[in-house]
Formats: sequence, structure tokens, C-alpha cells
Amino acid sequence: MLKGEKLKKTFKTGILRSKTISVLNDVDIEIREGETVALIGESGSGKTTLGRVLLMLIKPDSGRVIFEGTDLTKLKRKELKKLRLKMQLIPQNPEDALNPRWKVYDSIAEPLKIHGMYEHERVVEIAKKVGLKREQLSRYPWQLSGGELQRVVIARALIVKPKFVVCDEPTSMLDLSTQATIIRLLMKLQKEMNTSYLFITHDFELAELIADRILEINSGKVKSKN
Amino acid sequence: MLRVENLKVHFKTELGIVKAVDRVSFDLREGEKFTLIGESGSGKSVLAQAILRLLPENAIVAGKIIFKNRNILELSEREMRKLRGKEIAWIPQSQNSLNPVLSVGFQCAEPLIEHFKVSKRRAFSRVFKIFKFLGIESKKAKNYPHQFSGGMKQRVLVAMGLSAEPELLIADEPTKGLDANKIGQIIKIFKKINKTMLIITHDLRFADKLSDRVAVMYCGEVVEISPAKDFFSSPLHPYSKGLLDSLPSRGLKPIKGFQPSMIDSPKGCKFRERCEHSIEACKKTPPVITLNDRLVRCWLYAKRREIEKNV
Repeated sequence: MLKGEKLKKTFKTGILRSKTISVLNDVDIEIREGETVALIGESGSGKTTLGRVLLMLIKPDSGRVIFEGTDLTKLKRKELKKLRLKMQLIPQNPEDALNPRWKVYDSIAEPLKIHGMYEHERVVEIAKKVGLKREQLSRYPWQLSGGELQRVVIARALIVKPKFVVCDEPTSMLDLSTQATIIRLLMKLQKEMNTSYLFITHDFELAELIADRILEINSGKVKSKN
Repeated sequence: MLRVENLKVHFKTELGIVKAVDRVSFDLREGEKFTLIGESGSGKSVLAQAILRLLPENAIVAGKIIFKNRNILELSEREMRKLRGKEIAWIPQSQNSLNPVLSVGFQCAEPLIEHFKVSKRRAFSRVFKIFKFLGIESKKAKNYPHQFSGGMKQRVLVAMGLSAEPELLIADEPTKGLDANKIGQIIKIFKKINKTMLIITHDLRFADKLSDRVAVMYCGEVVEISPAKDFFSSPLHPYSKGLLDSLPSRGLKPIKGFQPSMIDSPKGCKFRERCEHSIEACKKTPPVITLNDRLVRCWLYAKRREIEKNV
């Protein structure tokens, strides 16, 4: 369903942008329909970069991302925007990912509004699915706890019924018990919607428990791990 | 070595009184690694801050904190300054606690210069020794915090805490934001440090590998104190069990419900509404039950003990 071929990405850092860091070095990756692939690696190993490249939120220097037969690297912005209905990101830190001046309801409804398919019922339905209470929808992000905010960003990502979701350490900021709740929720929704997950984490035990396959990223290369 | 007796820390806020720490008692034994486990908002950081009297002014503190036969809560601010860093040192939670415009070496030498009035040179030579012990190259001493990675900054913070040779080290969430590899390194370093340590964490796996004894906090109260080995093999309090069961390796089973607010927390046992075993008695304040070298604040064990007595 989704394939990354020979992906390369370098970043320039330092004063005068003189240093070059190679983050992805000829990465090949495939994610099949309905499966959960865990991506593990140390901090700074390029997990997040790879996730974002696959979603074309960061353009790779070279290589191709093929999603359902289309090469995403060749698409124009507008065409890519349409495909965003099928691929979504659940970010690591929900506090930073939500607009502090918007009510939670508006943040969840935003993807529908962007694509001109806003329906009030769909917002209410997804909020219920992720376990948000009706009155919480009219609150602002600062009025919710970390676990509740995580539910909000999950709702926002899943409201368009995507085929492919990158979960970027969705529980690393949460308490243990809340972490278990959120992961159970993600797994339940995956079954209902038949979504594929790329689950980025540095927790090997967690990866072992939830993933069909585990990939490890290390110095720009991705290797499969049993 | 350190004894906390019936400690209460309450905060006055617009919404009411927040009972961040409520009726907490425990003691630290010489040389042990004592871990305080709890979820965010359970009051564990506040408890540690109370020991060093680092709390904001709106905190109302009652009870006793006895350190070497002195009640810390009764010391003057001047005496407190002498004590902080020299007798009890604090390893802060955030790696942003480092001063961005001072070299890390100087920041580690500062407690020595401050407390022992030694020359900068002698202070630095001591800092180099600590750096070596913690696996930081001594030439890095003149570098600034932004030149360090998260794991290295954490080591610098540990070096800062160690520099004046305190008798007690308090580490607040030393693994926050670090990945599994770095956590492993911190565990090694902590094991090497031969001092009494009070470690605050929500990372159970970290606590498991490191601690001698564990205290579990829930909603401002200590609900269980056990030797680490017993705690991880057979936790006593239902909340402790729930916490352990939510680990991925133990089935990833969440505890139902939410931690109650500290402003109007339920009367009686605060875990009652989330507990599978709750009984009528739980509406009353649970007693602290001693079982060998373990403590648990739960009615279940009170009942059990009564039954045993009657038999």
C-alpha cells in the first residue's frame, strides 16, 4: 500500500549551514494494508524524519514514496492535499499540535472543513469513539489533561478515515495507565477502520506487544528486527 | 537518616485548597536508593521540594522532616542555604535547569566554591574527578549546556549534585525525555554512586532496576512502601497492581477512570472509585497496615488481619 524507495534526506546545520547531516540514507520501507509496523530507534536517529517523509510533510532529497500506486514525490501541492484525506499524523506532543486559541471541537473539525466536507455529526461521532465527553468539545486545550489532549489529536487524525497513519510516539508524554488506555484505543480504532499504522516509539517492549513487524532505524538505515 | 512524619503540603488557590501532599510518613535508611513512584500530579515532586524547602510561598506546610536530628521545617533560611547542596543536593527534573551562559564546569564547581570557600582551581580539579567518574570528558568542562545532548546534560546535572559531596541526593525524574539506551546509562551511573538517594520517577522499569525500596504515591498520599523486589513481584495496594499491569510487558491493562482532583478528592480511600476490590469500609479513611517490612494504606489488609486474628 505504501512504499518508500531509496529515500535520502540530509539536513544542513551549524552557523552558515556548513555542516551536512545525513538522516536517511537509502531507506527502503513497505507498509501493507491494515498492519502495524513499529519503528524503533534512539533519539536523533531519524524516526520522526522518516515518518514525516512518508507523509510528504518533509520532501526527501531523492527517492520515491509510492502510495496506492502514485508517486507522491511527483505530485503538486494541490494533488497532495487531496491525498491527505488518506494519510494522517498523530503527533508526539499534543499540546504543541493544537491551536491554543481554538476550542477542541474546531481543531477536530478542521480537516473536514479544509476538504469542504464538514458535518457536525461526524465530529460528534469521532469524539465519542475516542472517548471524549460532549462538554469537553467546547473547552480549550489548556483545560484538558495530557491524555485527553492525546484523544483530541487522535480524533483529528482519524476523522477523515485515513488508510495510513503515522503515530509519532503518541504516548511518550503520558502516564503509564493513560498510555495503556490510549494504545488500547488506537488498536481498537485500527480494527474498526482497517488503518495501517507506522508506530514510532523507543519502547521496545511496547513495539513487541502491538506491532506485526518491528523495524529499527540506525545511522540512516532501516533494518527489520524480530 | 531522613524521617518524614505526617507531612502535609497544601496550596491555597482560587478554586480551593489543593492537598498536594497529605499525611505522608516514611524514612530513608543510610545508603539506600529509595524511589518515589507516582503518576503526574500525584504530588511526588512537591514532596521532594518540601524536603529542600523549595516550595512557592503559597504552600502551607505541616508535619516534620527530621534530617540528622534537626527538623528541616524549623531551620532559618540561612541554615537552609548551608544545607542545600552540601548535605542534601537536588538533581532537578528539567535539563533546562542549567544556566545557558555559564560553562558546565563552572556550574558544577559553584557549590564547592560557595560552601567550602575553596579556590576556583581546586574546585575545578574536583569537578574533573567527578566528570571522569560519570564518563564526561574533562575538556568538556568549558563547554556550554547547548553543546550537550540530553543524556549528557543529565550527567552534568548529576555532577552538579555530587560536587559538594552531599549525604543525600534527591533526583527528580532523572529519565524524563531520555530514550531506553540513555536510561540504561543513567542506571549504571546511579548504581555507582554510593550515597543515600531519593529518586522520583514515573518510570517503573527504571525504578525496578535501581531501587532498594519503593514508595507509591497516589493523589498526595503514600499508599504503599515495599522493598523493590517484593513490590515488583507482588504489589500490595490495588493501585500498585494497576500500575504494574499497565506496563506493556504485563499486558498493557489500563486502570479504569481518572485520578481525582486534589481539591475535592473523595473522602476515605482516594482510590476507591477506581478500585475493583472496594468495599463498604473504603468510605472511611484507610489505616496504614504494617506487614513485615512493608506498609500499605488499604482496608483490604485490615480486614484480612482481623480474620487472621479470629482464626
